[in-house]
Amino acid sequence: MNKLTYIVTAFEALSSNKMRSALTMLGVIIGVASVILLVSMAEGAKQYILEKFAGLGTNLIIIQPGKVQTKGGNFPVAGIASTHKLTLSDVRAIERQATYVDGVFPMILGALIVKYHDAHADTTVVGVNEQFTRIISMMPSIGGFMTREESDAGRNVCVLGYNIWKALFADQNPLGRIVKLGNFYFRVIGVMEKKGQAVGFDWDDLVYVPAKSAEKIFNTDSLFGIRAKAISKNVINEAVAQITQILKRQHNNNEDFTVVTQESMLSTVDTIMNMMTVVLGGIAAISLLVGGIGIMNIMLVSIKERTREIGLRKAVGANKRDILIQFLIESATLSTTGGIIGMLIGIGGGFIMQSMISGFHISITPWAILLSFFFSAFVGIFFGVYPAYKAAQLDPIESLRYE
Amino acid sequence: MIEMEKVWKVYRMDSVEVTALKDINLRIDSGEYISIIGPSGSGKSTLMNIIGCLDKPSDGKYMLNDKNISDYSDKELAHIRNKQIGFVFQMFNLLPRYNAIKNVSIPLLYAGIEDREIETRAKEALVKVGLSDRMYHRPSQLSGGQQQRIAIARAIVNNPDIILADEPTGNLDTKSGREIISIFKNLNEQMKVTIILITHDPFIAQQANRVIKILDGSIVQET
Repeated sequence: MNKLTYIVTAFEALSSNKMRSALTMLGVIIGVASVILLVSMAEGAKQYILEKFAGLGTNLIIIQPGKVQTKGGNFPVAGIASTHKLTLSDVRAIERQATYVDGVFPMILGALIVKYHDAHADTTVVGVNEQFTRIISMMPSIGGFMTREESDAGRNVCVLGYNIWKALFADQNPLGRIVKLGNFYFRVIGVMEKKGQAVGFDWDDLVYVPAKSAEKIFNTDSLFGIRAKAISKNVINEAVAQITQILKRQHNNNEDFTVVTQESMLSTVDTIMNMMTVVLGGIAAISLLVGGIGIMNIMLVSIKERTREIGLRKAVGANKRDILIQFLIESATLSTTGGIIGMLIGIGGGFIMQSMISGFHISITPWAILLSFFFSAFVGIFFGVYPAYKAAQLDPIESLRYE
Repeated sequence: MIEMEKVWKVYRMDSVEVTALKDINLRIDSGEYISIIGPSGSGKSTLMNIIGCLDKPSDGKYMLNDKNISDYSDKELAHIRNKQIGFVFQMFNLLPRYNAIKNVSIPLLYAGIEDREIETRAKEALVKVGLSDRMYHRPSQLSGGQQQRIAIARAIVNNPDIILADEPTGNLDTKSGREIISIFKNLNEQMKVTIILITHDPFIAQQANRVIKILDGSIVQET
C-alpha cells in the first residue's frame, strides 16, 4: 500500500462513522484550543506588562530608599527597613559624580486635588526635574516642560497630564493659566502627550512640578525614589556600582537604599510570567492527554467492531505491518484533524475575546501553535499504538469467524 | 501444484488436545475443480485454511507450487495469499462502507499495484462475474447472489492460481447458488483457475471433477 492509500483508507473509515469521529476529536479539539488560548493569554499579559515597563525608558536604573534583600530585584516597599531617606542632595551627588550616568531625576509623589476655577480633578502630583522627559522619553504636546532654572529654583510651574488638561480646561489652551495644587498656585506651562495606562496607574492623570516645589506642597524633603539613566546598555552595571558607591558616601557608608536596573526587574516579571504560561499550558495539556485516551478508547471499540474486516484484509494479503499502519494512521488522522480544528478555534477564539473584551490582550505565539499541534499528533500516535498493535496481532481465521 | 504429505493439525485448547487433521495425504493439480465435503467439525475448514496459507500444519509437509511453505513467515504467507490464492466465504465478508469497485480493489492495495491500474482491474473482474451494471453499488444495495459475485470478483482480481470457496452458496437461495457455481465452472474452464470448494450440498459437490470426503480429520473417500 502506498502512503496516500493508507490516508485515503483512514479517511474513508473515519467518515463512515462521522458522529463518533467528531466526538472523539472533540477531546483533542478542546485540548489544543485551550492550550493555545491559555498560553496566548498568558503571553499577552506578559508582553503587556513588559511593554508598559519598557515604556518607562531604556537603561533605567531605579533607586529606592530602604534596603530589602531580594535577589531578583523587586520594588522594596518604601520605609520598610530604612532609617535614612533619599533627598535632593543625593540626586545632585549622582548628577555631579556618576560618570556612567546620562541623566537623573528625583521623584516626590503625593495625591492631591487640582483646581481651576470651578473645575477640579483628583491627581497625583509628581515632583521631578527637567531631565524627566529625556529619561522617560515622553514629551509635552502643548507648551514645554520645566527648565533647569525652574527646577533648581523650585518655581511654581506645572505640566498637566492629558486627562487633567481635559478635565480642567476641556479643549482650551491652558498655557499661562493658574491652577491650585493644595494651598499653592501653579502656572501651567505645558500638557504632556497622551500616554495611557501603565502598570497600576495612568500617566495621563499626573501633574508634574519641580521636585523642589513638591517638597513645599507636601512639606517633606524625603523622596519617593530616584531614577537614573545609564549612558549605554553596556555600562549599566558599572552605573549601578557607581551610584551605590556615591550614595553610600552620602549616607555615611550605610547602604540604606536599593539600586536595581529596570532590566533585572523585567527579568523577574518575565520569569514569573513564563512560569504562569507553563502552568496554564500544562493544565490545558492535561485535557489534551484526556483527549488522547478518548482516541485510544474509540480505536479499541472500532477494532473490535471491525474484526472481520481485519480478518478479510489479512486473508487477501495484508500483513501485520499493513494493519498496524492502517489503524495508526486512523488514530493520527483523528488527532491531527482535531488538532487543526482546535488550532483554528484557539486562534479565532483568542481574536474574538480580544476584540470583545477591552483591555484583554492575547499574543498568539507560533511555538504554542506548533507545540500543541505536534503534541496532538503525538498523542494520536502514542495512544493509537496499542489498539493498532492489537489489531495487527489478530488471527485471520478467528477474525473471519467473529460475529 | 498442491501436495500434502502426512499433514497433521492439532489444536491445544487449555489442556485438551484436539486433532483436527490426521495424516492427510493429498495432491491437487493445476486446473482441477475439486469439492470437499464432510459434516461440520470434520476438519474441512481446517484443511482449507492450511491450503489457503491462513494456518500452518502442526506436522507434515505442505508444498505449494513446489515450495515447502511449512516454515514460511507470516509476512511471506500474506504475500502468497495475496498473489496465488483467492478466498470466497459463506458470509461474503464485504466491507459495507465500500462500493463494489472498492471492495474488489482491496487485494490490489496490498499487491503494490499502481493506483491507476487498480480501478481498471477491479472493473474487469466485476465484468467477468456479470456485475458491470452494479459497480458503484454498496453491498447493502445488492442481493445475496450479487454480493457473492463481488466476493468472487475480489478473489480473482489478482489472477490467483487457486480459488478457495468455503460454503459459497450456504447463505444463498438455490437459484443464486447455481449461478455462483456456474461462475466457478466458467473460471475453471476458461481461465484454468484451480477451484477448491467446500460444501454440504451433494448436488453442488457433484459438479466438481473430483470429490473428497472428510470425516474426523481424515480423507475417507475420493471419487
